[in-house]
Formats: sequence, C-alpha cells, structure tokens
Amino acid sequence: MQPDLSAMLSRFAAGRYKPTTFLERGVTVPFTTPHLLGGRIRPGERRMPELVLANPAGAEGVYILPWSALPDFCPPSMHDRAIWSQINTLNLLTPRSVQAVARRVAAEGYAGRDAAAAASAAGGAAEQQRVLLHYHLLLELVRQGEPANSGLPPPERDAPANVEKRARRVLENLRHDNSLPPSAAVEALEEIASAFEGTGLRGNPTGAPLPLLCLEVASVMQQVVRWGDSSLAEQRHCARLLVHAAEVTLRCARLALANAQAQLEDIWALVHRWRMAPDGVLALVERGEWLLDGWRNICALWRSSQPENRLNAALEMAALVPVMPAEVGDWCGFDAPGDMDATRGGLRTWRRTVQANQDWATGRLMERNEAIRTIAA
Amino acid sequence: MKSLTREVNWLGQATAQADDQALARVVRMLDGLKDRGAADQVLAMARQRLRALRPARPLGFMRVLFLPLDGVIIASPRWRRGEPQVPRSALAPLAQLVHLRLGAQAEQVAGACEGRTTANLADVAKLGQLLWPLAAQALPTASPPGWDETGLNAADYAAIAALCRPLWQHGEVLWAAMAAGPEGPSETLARAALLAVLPAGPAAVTAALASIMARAAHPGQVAMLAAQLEPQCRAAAQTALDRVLEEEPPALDLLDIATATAAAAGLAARLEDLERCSLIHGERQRRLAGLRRAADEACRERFLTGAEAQVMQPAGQLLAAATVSDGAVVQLENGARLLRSMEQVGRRLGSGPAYDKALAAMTEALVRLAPLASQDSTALRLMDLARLVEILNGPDAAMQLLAAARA
Repeated sequence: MQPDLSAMLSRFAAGRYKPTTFLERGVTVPFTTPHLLGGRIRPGERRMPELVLANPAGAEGVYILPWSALPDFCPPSMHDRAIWSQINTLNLLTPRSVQAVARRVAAEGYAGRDAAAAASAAGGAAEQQRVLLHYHLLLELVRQGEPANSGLPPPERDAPANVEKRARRVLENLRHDNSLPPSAAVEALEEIASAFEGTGLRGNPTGAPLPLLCLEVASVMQQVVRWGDSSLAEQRHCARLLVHAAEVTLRCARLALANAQAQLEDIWALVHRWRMAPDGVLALVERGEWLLDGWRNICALWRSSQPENRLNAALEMAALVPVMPAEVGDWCGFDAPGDMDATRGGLRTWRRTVQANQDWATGRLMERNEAIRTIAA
Repeated sequence: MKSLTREVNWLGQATAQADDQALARVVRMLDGLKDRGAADQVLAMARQRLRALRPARPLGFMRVLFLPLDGVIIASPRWRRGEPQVPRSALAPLAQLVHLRLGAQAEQVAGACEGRTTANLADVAKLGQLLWPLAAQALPTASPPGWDETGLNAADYAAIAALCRPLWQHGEVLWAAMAAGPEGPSETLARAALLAVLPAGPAAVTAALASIMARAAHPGQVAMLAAQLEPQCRAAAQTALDRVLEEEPPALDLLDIATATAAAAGLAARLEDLERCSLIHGERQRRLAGLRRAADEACRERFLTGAEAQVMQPAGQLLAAATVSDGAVVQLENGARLLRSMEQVGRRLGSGPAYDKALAAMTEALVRLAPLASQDSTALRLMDLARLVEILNGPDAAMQLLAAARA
C-alpha cells in the first residue's frame, strides 16, 4: 500500500469493529476501483452516509470515512463516481436499493459493455421475477382459498386470465364487512411480490436470486474444497476457513429464507399484515438479503480467477468475508456472530502469513473488477 | 541457385515481418524439418525477433546438447579466435560427432525428445542429465574428419571442445541456474553452477556466466557473485558483463505490443539490476547509459506506433462504422490497456514526461472525436470514448470528456 494512503487511513481506523446490526455493518457497494473493493455504505450520524472499508488495498483493519470523502481517499473510476453520487440520493439503504443503483450505473456502460449487458439483463430478469412471483402468489392464493370441491382445474393448469378471476373471487369470499377490498388486496399482492423478489417461494419455482445465490456459494465452496485438497498446509487452512465462513452464512441464510417464505403459507393473513405493518414483514424478508450481501462478489472473485491465481483470489476473498452482526445471534439459534468472528480472525492470521503475487495485484485489477461486475450483476 | 537465394531472401524478409504468432508458426514448421538446409538462413533473418520472442522450440538432440552453451553461441562471422565462444557453424559437426560416439545412448535421447519443447524446463533438465555428462566424456581430443569444412582449424576445435566439456560435465547445475533466470536466479543456484565449472578455468567460468546471465533477470547480481568467488573470476565477470552491455535492445518495433511490453519489462529489470552492479563504472557505465537510452527510445517509438495502431486508428474506424459490435469495443479497450502497460514499462526506462505528453495528445484527439460518437448502442458511443480516455489518462480526464460533450 502507498505510504500516504496508509497515513491517511490511520485517522479513520475503527479499532475493534463489531457491528450489532446489519445497517451498522453497511451495504456492499460494487466498486471497481481496486482500493475500494469490498467497500460498504452505512448511515452515519445525522443521516450522513459513511464509507466502511475493510482491509483496503491489503491494509489491515476497518476504516470508516465520511461518504463525501471518498474522492479524497483515492481517485475513483468513472463507474464508482457515478455510484457514489447516485447512492447519495437514496433514502433507504438496503442491499436491494444499492444493487438497483449499481445496475443502473453499469447499464449506462460505466463499467464496460459486458457489464452493461449483464446489468440490463439482470434488471430485466428482476422485473420478470416480480411478474412471475405475483402470478405464483395468485396461484397460491387460489390453492389456499378455493374449496377443495370447487370442480375447477388446479390453478397451475388454468389460463392466467382465469387464475386472476379465480383469485379475485377468493379475495371477495374472504372479505368480511369492511375488510380489504379485492382491488386493494391485489395491489398489496403486487407489493408483496416485489418484496419477495429476492427470497421467492418455497422450492424456488420462480428462480428467485437469493436461493440461487445460496446454491452458487455452495458450488464455489465445493471448488474451494477441491483446491484446498493440496499438500500445502496454508492452502488447506485457507480453504477450510473460507468454507466454514460460507457454511455459517448459508446456515443462517437458509433459515432466514425459510422463515420469510413461511409467511406465504397463509397469503390472506400476510396481505393483512402487509397492509397493517409492512415493516415487520419486510424485516423478515430482508434478512436473507443482508446475510448474503457481499457473497455475490466473493463468488465472482473466485469465478473470475484463473486456476494459477487461485491463491490470490482466496486472499482477496478472505479479506471480503463479511462480519456477522450481533443481531443474527438473536434469531438464528446459535452463536453465528461468534463463530464467524473466530473464522474471520483465522482468515486474518492466514492472510498475514501469505505473500500476495504483487504482479497480479498491480496488473489489470480494474479490468478484473469490471469482470466481477459482469458476473455478479 | 540464384533463384533459390532470392527465394530464401524473400522468405527471410517475410518471416522477419510476419506477426508474432505467424513467426512462431513458421519457426515450428521449420524446426520440424528433418533436413533444415536453407531454413536456417530464413530463421537467421528473424533471429533478433526470435531472441525477444523466445518461442518454445521443439527439443532435438542438438538443441538439448548445446543448451548449457546458449550464452556463448554466436554467428560464425562474429566468432573471434581466443574468445570463449562457439561459432554456430561448429554446432552440427560437434553434435554429429557426439551422436556417433554415443550410439544407442544418443538415439535414446533423440527418441525421448520427440514431442517435447524447450517450454518444459524440467524435460530439458531430465534429458540433459542423461546426455550432458556422456557428451563431455565422448568428445575426442583431436578434431574429427571433415572439421575443416566448418571453416575452423584443428586448434580451434581444441579450444571449442575445451569450452564444451566442463559446461556439459556440469550441465545439470548450470541448467538449474539458467532455468531459474526469470527469478534471478537465486544466489544458491548461481553459486553452485559457477563453483562447479571454476576448476576448468576462466574461459569456462566466462562461458557459464554468459549462459546464466543471458537468461537472468538480475545479471548484475550474478556477475558480482562471480567476482567474489575467486580473484581471477573478476575478469570473467567483467567479460560477461561486457557481452551483456554489447547486446542490442530487443527489436520492439518488430514485436506485437504485448510481446514488446514483456520484452521491455524484462529489459528494464535487467538494466535496473545492472545499474546496481558495483562492477560497472567508467566506460561500462557510459555503455549502460547508452543501452538504457536506446531501450527508452525503442520503447517510446513502439508506444507511439502502438498508440496509432491500437487506439487512434481503430477508434476512428469504429466511429465511422454504422454498427459496432461489443467485441470490437472490448478489443479497442484491450488495445488501450496494452498501451498503458507499455507506458508504465516505458516510464521505468526513462521517458516519463514524453508519455504524459503522448497520453494528453491522445486524450485531446479523442475529445475532438467525441461529437462523432453516437447515442445508439449499436454504434460507438460517447461512453465508449470516455472509457477509452479513462483507461489512457484516468477518470478525471474521462469525466471532463463526458461533461464537455453533454454541455
């Protein structure tokens, strides 16, 4: 790391960094500037956002800077400047809202044509996911609300127009006195579909992104296990720690997804809860997004590396493994934050013992980071 | 006969001007010929490029045999009596002689060479381990019949054989140091090789040093190590350094931009190491400075031709095209990145301000082209030009281009 950067960062060192909530940990911002890789944004005091940098450019520790100071810290790429200014306008910081900004910026071509195409495709897929999910919610509503002896075909075999009519009938039948009118319920269902876009339904019939990301993390970790099956003790150790960090995350994420999807077991009740107190529903739905935030980039780092550069990729992946906030321990049933803290400690020690390939680090990192944007769009 | 000479000349020139991949293909084809005949003349015209390119060559009996002497083999007209060097014209007769005397063992090595190339250093080590000590024993003291056809006399044979024997005898350790050249080589490997040939006298040490230093990333460190081994080795080290300083910089103008950058980076590392070598002062220092100047100029020239060929010309063509594929834009950006890599190496060779100026000029030219950019994603867009500027001159210049074009 450059000495001036090191000196500049020392003013912002966060000491023992132990966030209690996901919001305090911040949301991953998919920067392409090498110094900013793995950077997060979080709301700071007086709602001024802050930039959280863990191990920037190989420096140990976590540094918290005012978001406005980002261009002073290092010259950001055009892509990162665009993200930097557009994120500033967000009222709500969540993994999904930041991802939407990042996709918008990438789609404009700031990270190259491949990343633009990937971002546009991902945006289109998300839109399609919402429509599909809304339709599946209607199917589920019909299944849950129609009498078993209705004589009608199973909704999944019926025409979409008929399904909508049947769903409205169900909503009409479920309505008591002044309770929710069907039009408002349908509207609520659309909003619920949007909220559940990442989580999807049990069994993931719509191909929702978060269950797919769980599969991707597991698949990458299988490769890491194979890579770690080496005669080199360092390699074995690193693979074990990375896989363990992924396992802890996946265990919590799968639990969070299952809890979120369980809300769909009674759609009518969910629609009511959504109308009365959407925050409670959202809090459950967003857990999966927060838990898996950052892992898309970790997997893309591995996917974008050549077999001869796996150790370097593992080094960067180790630096990006997110801290697990204390709030996870309250609902996951085991000491996931403590477990993750110990694993991250092991990864830190391992990183200090391994020499990075400097040529790789100083070569075409920006191009590599843009490739990560393409893979993790 | 005249026609054959003309054709060889024509082929040689064409080979010398072919792109790197085509040249590698030609070399592979010529290497595969049983009787190379005029093929060597064709390759001779591209030898300067081949030195920089170092394409993998198929292993054969003769190639394996002479690898430990790689640093002392020179073109026959440049060979001088009394110098610890081997003229290229002597290689084939010596190889035939060793082959004949080793008989079945030579056949075994030749057979094992099939399908292998110089790219696999471990293969070379394995075959050399078998061949080199036997070759050292097999070389007769008297010149073989037909030696005078090489244009060399019997006394020359004795001197050349005396050079070959110790280098073959200790070929294994010598090759270990040569093969580790890109990493230095390490002091341990270089010391082991030099100590092994030391009893054979200064000529053998000079030759071994030349072979190690020809492939070394740190030739100056190797020379200093040699100078400290024995008092008489100091002269050998200085002779070997003189050879290094006589080397012409790689013909960067004949290499494609990626290969030229790699060659220039290798040269920059060697020059930086030589500048730290305490054996270089006075006249040698002036020659070293001259070498740096020549390398700097060659790199700058290659950068400027690359700027036109890799970026400005294709950018102009894409701007004029009605439709532009994503692949074409990615290729244009790759060209700009290659150019930046060359610029970074070029700065190590000396011309920082010249590159600043060139990059600023390219940025200005791209800014002038900005009004021709399209809004349509099927054509070259303003964002594509801005990214090009970002790669070449940083995000600030790119943002300025965007701001100016959108104003």
